[in-house]
Amino acid sequence: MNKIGAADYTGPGLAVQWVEVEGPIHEEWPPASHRRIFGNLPQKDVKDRGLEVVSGNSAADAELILREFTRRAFRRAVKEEEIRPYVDLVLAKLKENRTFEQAVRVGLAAVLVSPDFLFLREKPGVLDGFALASRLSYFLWSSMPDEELLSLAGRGDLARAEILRAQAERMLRDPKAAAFTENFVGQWLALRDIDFTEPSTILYPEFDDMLKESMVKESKLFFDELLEKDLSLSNIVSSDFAMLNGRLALHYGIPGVEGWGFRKVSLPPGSHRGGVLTMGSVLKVTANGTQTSPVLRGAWVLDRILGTPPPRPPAGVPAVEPDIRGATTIREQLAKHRQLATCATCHAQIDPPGFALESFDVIGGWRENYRTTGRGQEVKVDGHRMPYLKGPKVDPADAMADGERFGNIDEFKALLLRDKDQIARALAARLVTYATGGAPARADQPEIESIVSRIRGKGYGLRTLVHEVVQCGLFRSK
Amino acid sequence: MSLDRRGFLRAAGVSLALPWLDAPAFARPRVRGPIRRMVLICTPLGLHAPNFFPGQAGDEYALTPYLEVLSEFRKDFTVVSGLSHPDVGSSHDSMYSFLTAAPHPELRAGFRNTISLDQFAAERIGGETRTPSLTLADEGFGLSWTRSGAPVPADASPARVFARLFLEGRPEEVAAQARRLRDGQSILDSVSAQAGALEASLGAGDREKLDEYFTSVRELELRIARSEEWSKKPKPKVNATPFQDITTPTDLVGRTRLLFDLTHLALQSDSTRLVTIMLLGTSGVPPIPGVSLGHHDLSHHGQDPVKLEQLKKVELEKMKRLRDLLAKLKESQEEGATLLDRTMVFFSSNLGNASNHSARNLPVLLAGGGFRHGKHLAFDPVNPPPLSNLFLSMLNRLGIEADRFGSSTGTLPGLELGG
Repeated sequence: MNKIGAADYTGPGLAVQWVEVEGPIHEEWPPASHRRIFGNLPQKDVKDRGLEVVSGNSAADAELILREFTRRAFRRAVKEEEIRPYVDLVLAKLKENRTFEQAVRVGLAAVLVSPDFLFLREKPGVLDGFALASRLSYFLWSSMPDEELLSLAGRGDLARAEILRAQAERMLRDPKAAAFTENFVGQWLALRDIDFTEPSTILYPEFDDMLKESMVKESKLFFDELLEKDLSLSNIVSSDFAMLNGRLALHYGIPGVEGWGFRKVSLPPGSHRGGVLTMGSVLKVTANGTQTSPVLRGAWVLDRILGTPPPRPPAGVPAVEPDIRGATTIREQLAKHRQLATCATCHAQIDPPGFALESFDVIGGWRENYRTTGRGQEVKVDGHRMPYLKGPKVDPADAMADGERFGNIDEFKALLLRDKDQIARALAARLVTYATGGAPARADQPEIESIVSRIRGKGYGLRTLVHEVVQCGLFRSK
Repeated sequence: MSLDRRGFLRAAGVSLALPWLDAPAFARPRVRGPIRRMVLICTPLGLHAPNFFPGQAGDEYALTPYLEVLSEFRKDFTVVSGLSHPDVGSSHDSMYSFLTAAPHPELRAGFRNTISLDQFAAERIGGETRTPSLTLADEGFGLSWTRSGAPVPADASPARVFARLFLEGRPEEVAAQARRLRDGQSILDSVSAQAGALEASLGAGDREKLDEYFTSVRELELRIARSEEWSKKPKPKVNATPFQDITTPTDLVGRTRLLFDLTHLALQSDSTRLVTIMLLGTSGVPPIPGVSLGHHDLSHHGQDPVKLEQLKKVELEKMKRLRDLLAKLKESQEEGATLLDRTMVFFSSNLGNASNHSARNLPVLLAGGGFRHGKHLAFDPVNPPPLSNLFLSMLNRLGIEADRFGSSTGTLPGLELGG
């Protein structure tokens, strides 16, 4: 046994006295996944190769297997001539004296590399039933349609509005819908980038993996909560609750939440939290390991939350190069930008959300002052001296492009909520993009507007929005 | 029967418009002479410019802290400043275009990659060796892209590559492999035969996607055919024990050394002549004495003296590994020349300044390959020639008579062949 550093270790320990491994791993043999392909054909022990499926009627059994497998792999009814090449391939392998299972495997592999399996085949125009089933299924489950969807598609019923709605509802209640939250939120809020930078251990010694995992979990649970209870999209900007565990509550300075388990917590006044902008995950993925940039965070808010991404900076304009030595603050550096007419137009839009978020550091902690390793006062936490120093004061105040002033993040959120339609428009467009694989074009704007107008009267509910997206023309056609 | 069909396709190029059928793919090169090789290395978090670029141009420049590590090879490399890809913006995403020069990876939407330098060369000279090219990466994407802009899967396990190149399988493994190759051929035959039926009734975008797909199928067919041919020839014997992978994901030093050692063996045994290597750019803390912060975080130094000092330690280690690779190549002889003389080693980064993600003024070092080295070629970073000009010079050095690559406007002035 290797003991690395054990002799000098004085902290708490965990004694593992034994480990038990229980079997069988498969509840039944052959497992269900195997029987879905090979049915009830028997298996036999083959020398040097282990168990292999055998058949007394190779050609006929191979054809049956391929027919059923192809239908499922292509997610639609298949014509005789489409199956033929795969069956022929298996027959040819049988003729080469390959065993039954080996030959069938070659046929299955061919189905799995065919473009009909690999790609969603959608003809321009209104989608046929099977294409609609796939679109719905990959939207909400990130996986292939089940038998119920396929049979509704085959009967031509899926396109009926009430059936489509009922199916979407059924699918959202299925555990497989976890993939929707995982993948949509993972991309929308860039949670997948959570490991892109590692916070500096000097500036952020309190950061740990448990905090990181908790941040990501919070964002997903929050989305799930809006989706399940059909809560208003305005919660994206500002909510009076948060999904927290003890580690996150400690990080956010919210008392009374203990343990690792997550729960819905009513936010006390002055918490500055609520909504996605002030979540640790979002604040972390919009910063690097050391500094925050109001430009990057501002652009992020415009793009992800308001759906109005700023144009790229003109070629030849170098990014602001951070300098933490304290000579100039980021606000002073940016002020130069905003004095130039060419930069001012965009930066009047980009910078305000970024400044409002300056009250949050790179791991989403609240800050009154920047942390620095340059010049500054000593900082003590619980009597311990921190490796960083107290730097310049944070100034989160700014004005929106229309001149409306805000003093801090709370006032900023209130200003964003003046236009709930814009938040709905932005998320509707994101969902359509995610569901159809293509961003709505300018010509598609009326469709988006009509979605917005339909959910406006229903309290901007997220579940309502998902249903409206499924019903809309953009979703049902290509 | 299947071979006939393949042969027919190769000769006629029917039904699928495959641009690279124009290229003499995997043909024997017409020019005979010494074997020429190329190694392309990217260190994805840049190199701190003041520690890398000399202050003076020409032969008489003073060595900088990083170049000091290579002092014994001063006459074997050229350092080039100022270069960049003209249409590649500031972002980590610039790594996708590093060897392709494809415009605007940083915009993401609408970006489509093009063929990388090594694959372009492999189409022309790759047929000479067991492996047309090696795409090595310590994590994530490699540097190589196919003609249709798809990533060439990168090998992340030196141990597996070693086994593939140098270890003979047991007879039953060889037989099983031959069977798999034949099955693979049958599958691709069956898929290709359906191409015509699928193309009807598709929109332009989907047709393009399908073209990409069938191009990949064709590339695979050729690769299988070549694998079959090579599977009948014995593998080269090398004077090295089989490699063990390093499991510590942040071990920049050890992992780089392993990739470089593998590269040396692959070149020396003429298993391949083209290698791309994406080095580690981890967010984790590399186990190097005196380094306590993550590599990515260090690259965003913000002029913090603590970080700059640690960053220097990390980057000096990279330079030392490069030095070791150059030393090994120089020690290896081939027909009276050194392996280094016959191998271009291009060491650079997709970022010129990782602290603000700038993709201008890339750190470029070209060693070996028989050029007249020993100088600093300094170009104006504001208005430099495209990096592709250097790529074109390198292609020509491989004996490939291309007159364009990527965004090239010509070859790179100042880079001359040695006497």
